[in-house]
Amino acid sequence: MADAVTVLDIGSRWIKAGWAYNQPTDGEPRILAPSAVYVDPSGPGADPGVSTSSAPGELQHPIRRGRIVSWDQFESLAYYVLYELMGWELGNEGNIMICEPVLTGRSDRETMAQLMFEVFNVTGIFCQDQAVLSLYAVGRTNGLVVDLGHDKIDVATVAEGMLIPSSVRRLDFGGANLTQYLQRLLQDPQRAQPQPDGAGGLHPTQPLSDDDAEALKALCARCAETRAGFTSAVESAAAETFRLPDGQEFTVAAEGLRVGEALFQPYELLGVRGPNIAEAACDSAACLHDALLRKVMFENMLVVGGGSVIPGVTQRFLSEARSLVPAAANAALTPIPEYMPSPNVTRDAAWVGGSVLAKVALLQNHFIVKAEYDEAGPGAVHRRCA
Amino acid sequence: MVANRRCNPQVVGIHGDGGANGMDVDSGSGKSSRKLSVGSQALAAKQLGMEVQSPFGPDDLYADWELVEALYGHALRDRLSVKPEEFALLLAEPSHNTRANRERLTELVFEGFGAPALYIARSAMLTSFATARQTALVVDLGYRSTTAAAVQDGYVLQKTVTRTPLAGQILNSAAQAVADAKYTPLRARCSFTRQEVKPGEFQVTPVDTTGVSRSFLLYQVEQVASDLKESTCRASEARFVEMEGQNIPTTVYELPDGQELYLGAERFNMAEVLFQPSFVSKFNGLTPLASDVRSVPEAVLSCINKCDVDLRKDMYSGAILSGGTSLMAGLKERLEKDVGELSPPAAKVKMLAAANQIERRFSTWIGGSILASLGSFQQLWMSKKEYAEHGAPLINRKCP
Repeated sequence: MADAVTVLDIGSRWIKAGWAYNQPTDGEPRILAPSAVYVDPSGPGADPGVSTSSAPGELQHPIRRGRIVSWDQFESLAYYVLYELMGWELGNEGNIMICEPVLTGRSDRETMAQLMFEVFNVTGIFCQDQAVLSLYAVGRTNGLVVDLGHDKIDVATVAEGMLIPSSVRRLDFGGANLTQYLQRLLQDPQRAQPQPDGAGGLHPTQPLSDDDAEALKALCARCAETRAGFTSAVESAAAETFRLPDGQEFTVAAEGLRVGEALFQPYELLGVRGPNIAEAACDSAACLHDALLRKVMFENMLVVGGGSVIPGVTQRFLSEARSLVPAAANAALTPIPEYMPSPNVTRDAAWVGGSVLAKVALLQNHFIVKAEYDEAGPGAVHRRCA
Repeated sequence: MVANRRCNPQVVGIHGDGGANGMDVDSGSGKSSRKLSVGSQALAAKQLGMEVQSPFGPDDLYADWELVEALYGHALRDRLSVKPEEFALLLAEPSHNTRANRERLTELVFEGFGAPALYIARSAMLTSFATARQTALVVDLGYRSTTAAAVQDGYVLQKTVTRTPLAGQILNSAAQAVADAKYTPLRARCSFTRQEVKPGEFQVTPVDTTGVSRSFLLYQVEQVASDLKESTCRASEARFVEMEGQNIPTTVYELPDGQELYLGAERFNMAEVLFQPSFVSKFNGLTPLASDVRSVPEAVLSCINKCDVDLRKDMYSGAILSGGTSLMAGLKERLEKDVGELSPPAAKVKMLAAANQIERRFSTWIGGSILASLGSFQQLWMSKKEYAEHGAPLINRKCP
């Protein structure tokens, strides 16, 4: 078990964990747990997962916008995921690979190292940015990564396996904003009007719970191919009925298209000021000083994260980027290699990349081991973790 | 920033050039409730009613302190993710910074950010540290001005600091004038969209820009002009005279809207502004400079002549070029030649410039990083306690 590496990808909505040595047969993270913790207001501590006490307490999220805001809650969550779900044995924890969001500060990384070594007693730790790992998952070391997350979207450029920090752009909207937008759309009284094709009106539904809205969004969100295509498709959208796993049925017409479009028109549809994802990507690459490097970035763009499974989002992103970038740059997406077993490699790209890197880093002794931590303190984690 | 290897170069951008990492102000609300959006991300997308403003005043020193505070706060909290109260701060300042400005900056850092310790270093000194020299002439070709300063034994000799406004900003205006004169005027990136109708062929449609402030459009146009300048400007080897029938190879530059510019003599014309200020009159729309504006070689000479006689030999043979504008092709050789012509015959003129782009642009920051990690430097910081006891004027004594 000393050679075992657990790969932990920390996200605002899902925390992904799995073993690294099962590659390539296990292309996906084995554990996908929600990053949420029930805090019992009466007693101390927090119970992640399902609450066992009679009073359910308040659901809190220790990870927001890529930062861990409550280390106590994160500790309980990590304990649950690692010991109970992954099956770690006390005293035999093995190594851990942390896939941390870009722009994680040095002090946060040191606190994570402290948590892992002192509370969980791991054998070794390695941390790497999610942008770099996403590129490793598709077999590249240079590229521009757009990570569509739950409450933030990160755009970063990576050159020769190293993140370029001055090019990182963090957008303030993400999957959560899209879900709220869907809820607002379904509440719109306009939906009760009769449809142009003679069918009855789509009744405004009761306020959708967050979970139901997320599930519905996963089923119906899609992106139009161009902005002009969006306006025409919205007018002619036919009503479709979607059935959620718990049996509820919802009828949506153009709401799915609007939700996907919100990624490309955040100000008009979501009210969020700032660039859309294609503009942010082009701006991120444009701030690089070397013109050749910029060209490489435009030719190797990658869309990853939970939002990347929306049908049509990568094609739309590419067409928007091509219209913003000079023609000579020949903007293109990174091809996903066929040898990757999982079809969801872009959704879990950071985890998959962490899994790839863990094997390599373990062999080359890049992991920060307990002896080094004991000698130098939490600052030891910066020695080899870039 | 003390010993922080992950510092991104943006920090240097704040000191050298308020424009690139500049800030924007949402006009419309009262002055007390201005909404400030900072950072290159905020400036990339068009937002209605947003003005672009720089914190620098007419003499290239900080003038608008609210903007300065927001800029620093953005760099520390958003980009570096550090709490200012936990880290000592080493700030680089322009070589001609005034005592009053330094005191104001000290107040801002200790009261506004609560940093535990502070040191303010002149950028010429830091540049010479970055090249491991204690005595050198530093020629910093920046955005708003070119500064020549003599550094002796690690101290900037204040009386030798010479500035001239011939720098990146004037070159940007020249590039814009060149593009405007040849073809249609440069368009801001936000004022048009391109659709790919066939692979490789694009159709450009203008976008309505009412509500977008003029300063934002100018800022975006300047970005395009700046890229044009960086890609095509070239300094000629000798005094450039535009003659008829001269065979100058043309280069092609593609603007964001797909138009192609073919530039021949203009490439040299733009760069020649640095060496012959009268060339400014060749470009439409540029305000002519005052007659006492020195060219860059003259500024270098003037700086050296203000040094002591025995120091001048070292200055001639060890001048360091830094700053973004110094990356122009052929500039170093031309500057060496021109300074050599103006200097006494016995002087041997040699200029050093780092080969790496990053090192030249951010030499001030690199020098600061080196300085802050020296063991012998740690006793030179001005601490919060000293600020509480003696007040802001102490900074002038602690940081010469």
